[in-house]
Amino acid sequence: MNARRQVGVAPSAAARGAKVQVPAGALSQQAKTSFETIASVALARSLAPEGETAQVAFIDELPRRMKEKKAVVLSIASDRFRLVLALMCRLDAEGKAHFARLNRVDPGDWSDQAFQDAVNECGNIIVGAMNRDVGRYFPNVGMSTPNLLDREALSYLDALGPGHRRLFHVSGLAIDFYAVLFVAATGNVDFRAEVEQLADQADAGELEMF
Amino acid sequence: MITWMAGLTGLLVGALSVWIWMRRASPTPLSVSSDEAPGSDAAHRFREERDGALAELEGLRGELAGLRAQSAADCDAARSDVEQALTSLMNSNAQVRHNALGTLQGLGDQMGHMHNVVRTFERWESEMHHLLAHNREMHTRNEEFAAIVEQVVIVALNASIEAARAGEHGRGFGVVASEIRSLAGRAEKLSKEYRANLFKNDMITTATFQDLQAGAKMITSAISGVDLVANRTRETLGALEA
Repeated sequence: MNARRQVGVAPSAAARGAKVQVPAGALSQQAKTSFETIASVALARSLAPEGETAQVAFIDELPRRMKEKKAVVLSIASDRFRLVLALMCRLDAEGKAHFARLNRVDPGDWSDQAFQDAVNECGNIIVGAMNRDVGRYFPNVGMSTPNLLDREALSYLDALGPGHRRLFHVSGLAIDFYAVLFVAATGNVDFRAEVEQLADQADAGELEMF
Repeated sequence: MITWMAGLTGLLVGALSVWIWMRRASPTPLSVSSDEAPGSDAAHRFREERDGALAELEGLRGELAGLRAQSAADCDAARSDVEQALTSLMNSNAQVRHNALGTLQGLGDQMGHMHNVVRTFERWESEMHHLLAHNREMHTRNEEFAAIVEQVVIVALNASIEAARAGEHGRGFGVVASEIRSLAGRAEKLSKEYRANLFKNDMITTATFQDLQAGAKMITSAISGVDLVANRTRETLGALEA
């Protein structure tokens, strides 16, 4: 396992044990881990073109200079929490080439609008996968449509109030991606996502998903 | 009643057995010939006993017929009671089904209303799109404003340079140029703060809009779940009625 913590590792020993008691309107530690795991699995699976492998890791802060100028933002609403996932992306030629490969099309065939639509659709796929996973534990969930914002807007996630934030770095592909997860609980949220296979891979020192 | 009839039947069987045994035990048939000695006490006694037994048997037969008639009447009465109870139960069941279907119909109507209520979210969604478009327009204008401020700073700098070159004659002009640079600096700072606030506004507006939109889908999904259960119940009740 590299220096940075790998995303998707199994919940801690404490989290595996007895149910964590949390105060009203709070996320338990294993719930935070579960959301992070669900997000990392969705990111790795949705961003890697066929035959390529993505590695997902937690990071504490974003690089100073970033080529990602935009971010596709989506939300999941539940009666007990709200979740926002923002995928920072490049709308340049390299970004276009990657998304074209992901969609198995020729980048030359894509207009700027078609490229932007593909980026939004990718966000839709990622959060759609998360919505399905989260829906296994929470019966009432709904998902928004994507919005493309300037990356700088993500600096103000704190304006949404207190919540759990996690930064992800997706590497191993033609271009890197950065994403941020924000989860705010409005009720007690405590669950453990069953992604043992993924956790085992992470424990083995790598997190590779196809 | 069955126990009682079984006892009576046993009694009859017993009497018949006695009668058969007596016939077998007697070397002569029950019908005593008329040429038998009329003074025979044994024969006379035997005839009396036979007649008594036959009378008793006849009495028992009559009693049995009466009991049969009574039990048939009891059975008819019981059957009638059961049929009445069954009819009443079926009527009650039909009423319950009818009421349940009526309630389900009401529930379906309410579900329809709820779906209409959820459409309110779509209206909000449309309004939020207007807000986001407005934000984008403000970003564009602020960028224009920032570009103008930047230009003013350059012009003020050039004016200061020109004032300095003009020497004593340009001193007053230099003061004005310096003031313009100061104003441009304040405008630049204001523009940056405005830009930051617009980004913050983007984040809050987008996240709020998305939470509303996702919440509406969550509610729609929950209503559809209730709708599905109501439809299944309606189908089941309909099948029962058919």
